[in-house]
Parts: sequence; structure tokens; C-alpha cells
Amino acid sequence: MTGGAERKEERGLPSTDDLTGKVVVAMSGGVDSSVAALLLAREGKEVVGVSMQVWDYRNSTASGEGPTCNSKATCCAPSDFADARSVADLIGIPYYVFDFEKKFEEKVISRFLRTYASGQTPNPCVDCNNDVKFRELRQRSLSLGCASVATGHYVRVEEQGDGFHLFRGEDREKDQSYFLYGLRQNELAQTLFPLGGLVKSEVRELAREAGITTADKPESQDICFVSGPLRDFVGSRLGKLKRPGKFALRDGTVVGAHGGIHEFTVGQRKGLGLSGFDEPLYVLEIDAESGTVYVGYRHELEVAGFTVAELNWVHPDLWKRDFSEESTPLEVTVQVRHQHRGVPAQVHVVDGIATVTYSEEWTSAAPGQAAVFYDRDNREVLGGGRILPRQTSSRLQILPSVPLEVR
Amino acid sequence: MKRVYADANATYGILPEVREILRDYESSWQTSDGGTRRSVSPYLNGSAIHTEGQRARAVIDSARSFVFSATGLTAHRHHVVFTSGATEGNNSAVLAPFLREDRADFSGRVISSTVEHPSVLDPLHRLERYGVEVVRLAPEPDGTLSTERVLAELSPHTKLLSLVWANNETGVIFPIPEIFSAVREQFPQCLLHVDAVQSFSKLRSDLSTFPFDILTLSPHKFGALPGVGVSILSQHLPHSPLLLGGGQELRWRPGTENLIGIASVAAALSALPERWERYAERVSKLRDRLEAELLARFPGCSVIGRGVPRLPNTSLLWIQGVRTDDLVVALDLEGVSCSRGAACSSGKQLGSHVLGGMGLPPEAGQEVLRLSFRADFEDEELTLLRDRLFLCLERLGLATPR
Repeated sequence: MTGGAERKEERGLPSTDDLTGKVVVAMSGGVDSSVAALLLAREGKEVVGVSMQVWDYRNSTASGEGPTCNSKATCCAPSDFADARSVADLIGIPYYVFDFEKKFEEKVISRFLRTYASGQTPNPCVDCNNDVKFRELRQRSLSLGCASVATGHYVRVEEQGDGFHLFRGEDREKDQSYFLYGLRQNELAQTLFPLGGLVKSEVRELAREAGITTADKPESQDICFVSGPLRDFVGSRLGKLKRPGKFALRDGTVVGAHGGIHEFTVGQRKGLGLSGFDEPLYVLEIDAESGTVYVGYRHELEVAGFTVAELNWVHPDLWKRDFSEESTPLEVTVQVRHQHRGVPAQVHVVDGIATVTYSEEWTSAAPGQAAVFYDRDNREVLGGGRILPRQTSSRLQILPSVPLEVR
Repeated sequence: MKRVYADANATYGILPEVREILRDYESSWQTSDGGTRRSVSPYLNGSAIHTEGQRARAVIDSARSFVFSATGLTAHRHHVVFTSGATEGNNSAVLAPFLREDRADFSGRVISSTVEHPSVLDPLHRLERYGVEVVRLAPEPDGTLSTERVLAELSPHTKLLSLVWANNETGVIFPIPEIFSAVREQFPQCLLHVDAVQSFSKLRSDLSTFPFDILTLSPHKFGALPGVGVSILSQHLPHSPLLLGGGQELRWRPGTENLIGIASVAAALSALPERWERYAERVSKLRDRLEAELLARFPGCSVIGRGVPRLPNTSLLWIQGVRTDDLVVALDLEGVSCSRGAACSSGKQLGSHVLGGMGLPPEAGQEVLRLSFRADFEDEELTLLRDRLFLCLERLGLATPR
């Protein structure tokens, strides 16, 4: 229970009057969070290192579940805790491991599986940031007497007259603002991103100078709780909810069979295993109820736009705005995947659902993924939400409510 | 910030007397003649025939006689065996009776309790898989265990009774002299093992007044170096060592002795009698005062084992609604060292098997805080501890009466 912190939350901005200036740095053992801790400590802040145990490595098996000691997925394997601990020791800060396994299972993994079961493509990093890192960790930090939380994300926060503004990181290659559109004003007020103004090579250089042994550690790219092939992990965890079915063309012609809808994402071309067509085939749509994966040529993917739910507005003006009376659309740049540069679009909000209309070029947006709205300069995060399936905007309601085989 | 250490049950802290010894050995490296002080040389193998070996041997023998005099026992009836620690001692005590020199025999029964240390529980689990019948008695909700409950489970087939004297988390004391005397009288074939790790240094201990076959001690709990243990064995115990090898420790524990560790045991034992006094006279009163103030301020708190015999230095608080792994971190950041139950597990926080074993609800394991004090715990430290504990509890949202 984090009773006190929760009660404070309800009153809006948490009172930090009785708190010290201590900062909790979420340390993964990687170079980014290590340097974040280092920089804050050099500024003279009282830094507390914390690693989040989100997955029990002891359950790691050959089935591909969970990171093992030699796994590429680097998030909470014991070797990473050892790295984080040694960095904390080098910097001279206290260090703790917090157990977030239950929350992570509840907030991230079960949603991850439910989204796949509904024929959509989840974004567990967004959920982890929204529901675990910047909510649970921050509340626990507050209850420990630490006024703010810092991470090694490459994003910038600026306090201006009207509130807090979130910008892409200076290093455009490493920019992680796409994953952080769920932050609220009160969270931005208490969050530090020391790497926002740096590029990766500078961060590695700082780490090397300081003697941080993980300076040259490779980037973690994979989903942190999956070490084997993703489809095997999802397939085995879905169990009975796994949905094999047919490949069909738009007109209903069956052109093949597949092992489960969770293996496909709208817009996907590779790995369909369908041949004998004039042009490459793409996944157009996934019908979870029948298990049908609709495929077609690239031009059939083309749409005027898409809809977005579960909106969060980061920009202070939009955060305060009452969209029920809004009529002029927002001019934005919309980014629909982590590795997407963003395209110009107009956003119109009605009843908590944003309708996104491409202004120039179109792109394929996969339901379940995050759509993040930036300003037209493509620098500042305005807000974002989750992409809805194509035909219906109430599709998320058919997420299966049956309990999954969640450990 | 002045830190307050309240985790003496995890480790007591190296005593000044022990630091003295470390300095002696350090200086012995620097002198080419092998050290001018008697019994201190850099050549630490007590089995060697030469002069340096004899000096090492003398350190071990002298430590052994310190153990005898501190326990009230004599070399006529007992062996003192130096091990690597109480984990080894407890493992040996539980497993060895079934691994005899001529054969392994997994017939018969073992009686123990649900609140033993993992170094007893895990070997018991192993024995069970080998076919031994294991009975684990659950203490009463207040943590106590009566002689009658134990006797009721005894039978002529019972090979071993293994019990902890004072629980490491609750501090609650089992009436070991009474239980062991009764069992020995009625079932003389049953071997008696007591895990005296927590009790020995905190309760005045004359071990000559009741029967036992194996008694295990952990000297770092009373100020010696970690990495050395003491097992006291009755001379009637059939020879069945767990480790096999050289002839050290009467073949009860082969392997070159941890000489500096053993020397530290002797040094730490010399401080004990005065400490027993202070625990009984002073520390228990400070502990009681803190508990009373806490209960008055936070009615949602309770003290586990209050009102039953327990260690004078231990306070296990059940703070309902507060996740105590957070509280331990919060207190550490405020300069108070304590733990959530036993300090033995790391990383992932597990519930307490001790509280579960006492019949408390599962969430209690997430909501307990163990404070355990050194004998030199002072009023001023108590005040600091109380203020910091109250601050942290309020931050964590614990209700106070208005």
C-alpha cells in the first residue's frame, strides 16, 4: 500500500513540503540510466538509485520466457542489478531493488497479451512508463521522502509560464518521447531527464571518463520480458486464447492459413508465407472474432486517417482544454511507431476520441500502437493515445474479459 | 547524519577486540621473522608440525577453551567444532544423523517446527524427499511452543528433534531446556539439536544444565567475523560428518581452519557476560519503551510476541497497511538500519515463513518490521530511531489518532 501518496495524489499536486530534495533514479544497469545518476550526483543532488524488478528471472526457462543470464533482453536479469549496484557504488549513492512484479504483470503483461488476443499490436513500453515507472515508482518514491524521479530517457522537459513542456531529445536517433506521451503535468513537475540535452556518444564518453564499466554495453532493443522469439512467448502465454485462422483477401477469398492472429500486425509484409501474387501482400486488417487475417496489396492499406482513444494531453494548454466545445482541428505531426519520423495531420477530438486525418502523405497505423501528436515543427509532444482498429471506434470494448493464464 | 543501527540480529558488528586481532595479523605480514608476538604468525595452517603451525594450533585450541568457559561446558563431555557458519552447522545437524559412516538410513521421523531458519528447513525438505518422515510443529499464534506439543509427536522411531531456541524474526523463545530434558527422559534414542544462533549472545547461557547432542552458533551474531561457525557436539554423538577429507576438528569438520575467524570468536566471547547483563537490564527496557510509544501513536500497529518470553533486543512490529520493504528503504534513507524480517533473502522480497508458520495472515509477511538492538544501544539512539520511524510511517500514510 502506498496509502499516503495516493491520498496526496487525489488532491492534485502532491505536497512536497515535508520532503527532502532527494531524487530517485530508475537504474537499469545500462549506460543511460547510469550516466543520468552520475550527472545528478555531480550537480550535488542527493541521488537514490533504484532498480525495478518486474520479472522473475528465476522462472526463466528454455521456453523463452523471461530474460536469462545470457539473454539479450536486458532489464531485470541479475547481472543487470549487479551492474546497477556497482555503478551506484562508484558514484557513491544508496541503491535498492524494488519489487514491481505484481504491478507489471497486472498493468503491462496482461494488457500486452489481451491486446494480441484482440488482433491488435501492443506497446508494453508505453504501458510500463505510464502505469509502472512514472506512477508506481514515483508514488513509492514520494512515500520514501524523495521529491522527484529521474530516468535516462532522451527527452527534454522545460518549465514555461503556463506549465511543463515535453520535447524530443536532442539526440534525434535516441529520442524516446514517443513512449512518454502519457505523462501528466504533475508528473512532469516531479520528473528529471538529465540526458535530454545530450547525444548518445557524449553519454558513452561521460560514462567512460567516470569509469562506469557499462559504458560500452550494447543497447537493449527487445521487449525486456521476452528473451526468445516473441511469437513463441505470446503463443504460449495466450494458451487457449490463441486464435489460428485463415488468410483472406478483402473479398473473402481464402488464400492460406496461419497459426495465430498474434503473429501479425497491420501493415506487416514480411513473414506471411503467401506466394503466387503479382505484388507483395500486406496485412490489411485482423478480425479477432473469426481469426481471419485480411491481406492485400499495398495500395489497399491506404487510408485517409485513423482514430485514437485513451488520450492524454501533455501540453499545458491542451491539458486544460475542454475538448467538448472544440471545433477547430489541431495541426500536428503524428508519429505512429517508435521508428517513424512522423507525418503532418489534423486532429479533431469528439467525446474523447481523436480523429486523425493525414494532411499530405499517409502511413500505415497499427491498432493498439501509440499515436503521438507533436507540434508541426515535430519537436514538442502535445499528447497522444492508442490507435483504434479501422472500422469501429468501440473495438477496444471487445477485448476478451476471460482471465488469461496470467501467473 | 548519525546513523542508528537496529539490525543486530542480522549481524552484530565486528567488536574492537576483534579489530585488535586483525591488526596483529596485519602487522605479522610486515615483520620478516614471522611475528614477534606469541601465537601470531602469517602462516595459518594449524595442522603443520613446525613452529608456525604450532602457533596456529595454539590459537585454535585457545579459542576452543574460550567456548567451553563461555558456555559452562567441558571437554570431557563435548566437542567444540569450528565450521564455516551456522548454515553449515544446521545442515550437518539435520542431515548427518541419516548419513552414517556405514550406510545412509532414511527410516524414522524428525520433529521440528515451521519457524526454523531456512538452513534447517531446506535440509528437512531434502530428507523428506529421501523418505524420512518430517513433522513440522506450528507454534501458537503468539509464537510459543509447549513441551507437551513436542512430546505428543515423539515416538520411539523419532531419530532427531531439531528446534530453534529463539526465533530470528520474532525473538520468541522456545523452552529448550525443559523440552530437551523431558524428551531425553522419555525418548533417550532421539538426538537433540538446538539452533542457538540468536539466543546465545542475548540470554545468559549456561548450557551445562540440560541435555543436547548438537548446538549450533553463529559468532558474527556476537561480534566475531562472518565466515566462521561453532558447533558443540555431545561426545556420545555417533561420528557422521557431512564433509569428508582431512583430520581437522577430530574429523568432524575437515579442511584447513579459518584461523583468523576462529581467533575472532575467542575475542568476541570475552565480551559476552557484560553484554548479557546490559541486554537484560537496559536494552529490554528501551525496547519496551519504544514499543509502548509506537502503539500509543499508531493504533494500527501491533507487536508480535509481546507478553511471551522473547529476546530482550528484538521487536517485530506488524504495521498493518504499510508495505515494509518500502519502510525499510525509507528508514535507511533517514539513517536507520533495520530489516523486514530476516535479512537472509535478497532481491525479490518474499513473505515471511515464520509468520505464516505462526498462523498469521499472508499479508502480515509484507507488513512486518524487525528492529534488533546491540547491547550498547543508548537512550539517545532510541529517540532518534523513534522520531525517524514516526516520520516515515506518517509519510507512508499510517493513521494517527487526532
